[in-house]
Formats: sequence, structure tokens, C-alpha cells
Amino acid sequence: MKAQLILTSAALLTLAPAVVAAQTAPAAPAPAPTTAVTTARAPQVGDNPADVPEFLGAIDLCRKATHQGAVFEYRILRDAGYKIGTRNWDPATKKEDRGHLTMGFGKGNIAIFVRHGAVLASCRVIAHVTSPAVSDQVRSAMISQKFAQTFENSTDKRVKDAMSKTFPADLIARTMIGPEHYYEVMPSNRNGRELLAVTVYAIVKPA
Amino acid sequence: MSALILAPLLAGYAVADTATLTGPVLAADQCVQAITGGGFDEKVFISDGWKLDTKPKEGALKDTKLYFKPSANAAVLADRSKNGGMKCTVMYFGPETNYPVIEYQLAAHFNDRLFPLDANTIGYRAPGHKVAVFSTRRQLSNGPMLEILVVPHSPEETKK
Repeated sequence: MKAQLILTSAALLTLAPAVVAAQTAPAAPAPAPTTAVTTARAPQVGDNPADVPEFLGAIDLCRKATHQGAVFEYRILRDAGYKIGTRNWDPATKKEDRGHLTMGFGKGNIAIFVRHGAVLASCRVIAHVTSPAVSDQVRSAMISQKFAQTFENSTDKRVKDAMSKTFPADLIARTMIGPEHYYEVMPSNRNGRELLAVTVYAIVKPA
Repeated sequence: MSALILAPLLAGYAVADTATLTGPVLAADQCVQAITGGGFDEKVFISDGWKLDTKPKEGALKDTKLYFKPSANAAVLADRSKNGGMKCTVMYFGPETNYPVIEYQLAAHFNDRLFPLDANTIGYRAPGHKVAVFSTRRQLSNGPMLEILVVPHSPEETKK
């Protein structure tokens, strides 16, 4: 497969400038001088704090789109009206790691970041919230909507045992476990603004 | 986790319109249709308004076919694949700010498997077709280009 990528021969690259030239429209005449006009800024993602239903809806999209085996259904975000804002590459930190692609999406007051690697895809919902209490409200809503249980109340012994061996205690305290996914709930305060982030991971089922 | 994380998204949010498929993504889909049969079904492109470049070509390009469609801001090159069959390349010369939208649309459109390979290249698998799709960001001497390559590929057969 890699060999297929070395497709763009020197010939193809020499062709490209000609293609560009063929498609380039004649230069437009210089625009007439204009005076600066102050216009209202269009609403942008994160202008206002997200409420619990909006946040929960985004978590629901993440859990529907995130699957084991590094499969993420981008179509689900697209169909829900999320637009892409960024696309970054995080280089590998270990030799066996190939690096991750991070794509940022936005809609309303919610930002979603999909971190997509060779073996794992995760989906993070992040938004400004009005107070630290929203974090508890989101956790409660996740339980009542049957998305997940707290680590203590989860009955998935296999997952709990595996996490207990590898996760530090503070991460376990932030973790919630569902039938197909686990969630890391992370409230924070930066510069006086309350932020809430929930990251969704697919639970890897034994083959 | 800070507002710094949100900032890049806010900066790029205004330019992205993902509601309608962009020209290069449609062209990639047409490439999938055109090479799926093993050859190159030119009708897929001609019926959509693409024009065959009739200028004679030399050297390595002698047996290639090049198609233009100005409204797509792209060109399509049909060439013989090393592994048999034909390969189809979409060359997009529009602004780099459109690249994330195109890549996102490719992922959402093919929606089967995305596999990031490195900083510049993402692979996609088109469900129901024995092809692989790759998008690669390239810097040419006269500007950037996003190249979308559709090649015959059948992972199941390779494994045997």
C-alpha cells in the first residue's frame, strides 16, 4: 500500500504547473478604494456557555461515531451539522506509535475534537459552562440516560480490572463506564472560565 | 484543555462549509466509480462536464488521460496502476484553507475506514469497492496542491 503512494512521478509534478496555468483566471482589476466599515462579528463556536442538553447531545454523537479498531464515523458529525475548523498532526511520541490526526469540529457552543490514530480513535466534547456544578449535572444525566455508570457502580468487571491495573487513581475517579464506551469527565477552570471536557473512547472487546 | 484548545477551532470555523460536497470530493467519488470495473470508465467524467485534454503528451505521460473541469478547480489524471487496472488522481489547486473541509468530507463520504499515515497523508477505504483512497498535501514550486489518489486495492485478497 505504501508503494502505491509513491505514485506521483516527476512527470505528474511537472504537469501540475501547466494545469494550474490552464485553470487560472486572468487577474481581476484592482478593486476601488473603500472605507473601512465596522460590521458585527458572526456568532462563533464557544461564544456562550453550553447547557446540559447541548453537551449531552454532543456526547451522544461521539459515542455513536466512535468504534473500536480506530473506526470513527465522521458522517455522524457531518449529518448533525458539525463543521470542521482545524486539522492537525500530532507526531509520534514513541517509536511504535505512528502519530495521530486531530480534527476539530464546531457547532453552537460545542467543540468536538476527534483524535484519530492507527489503532485508536477518541472523541472529546469541550465547551464553556456556567459553573463547576454543570460537570455533576452532566455526569448525572449520563447515568440517567444510560450512557454510563460511575466506575464504582459499573458491573463490567473485566473493564474495571483492566483499568485498575493501568489507570492512576485520579483518572479512575474521572472515568465512567458504559456498555460500549468509557468516558473521561474533566472539568477545569482557566482564567476564570469554567470548561468541561468529556472524552469518549471505545472499549476494546476481546476477539 | 484550556481556551487555547478552542482558539484554533474558532479561527477556522468561519471558512468551513461542509453541507455540500466540494468538487474534489465529487471527483474522487467519480474516480471510484470509473476504475471499479478494472478499466477507466470515461463516461463518468464526460457526462459530468469534465473535458478531456487533447494536447499530445510525451514521456511518462504519453498513455495518460487528463481531464479538466474549471468549476471543480481541479484536474483528473487517469493512469495505469502498477498492480494492474487503472488509477485515478484528482489534483486540487484551490486554497489550503479548503483542505481540512475536503479531507473531512472524504472521511464522511467514504465513511468506512480512515487511516492517518503521516502529517500529510490520510487513507480512506470506500465501502463496497475494491479501491483505496489517499489524500496527500503537497507543496509544489508554484504553490500547494491536494492530491487525491484512487487505486485498486483489495485487502482481503492481499491477505491470502
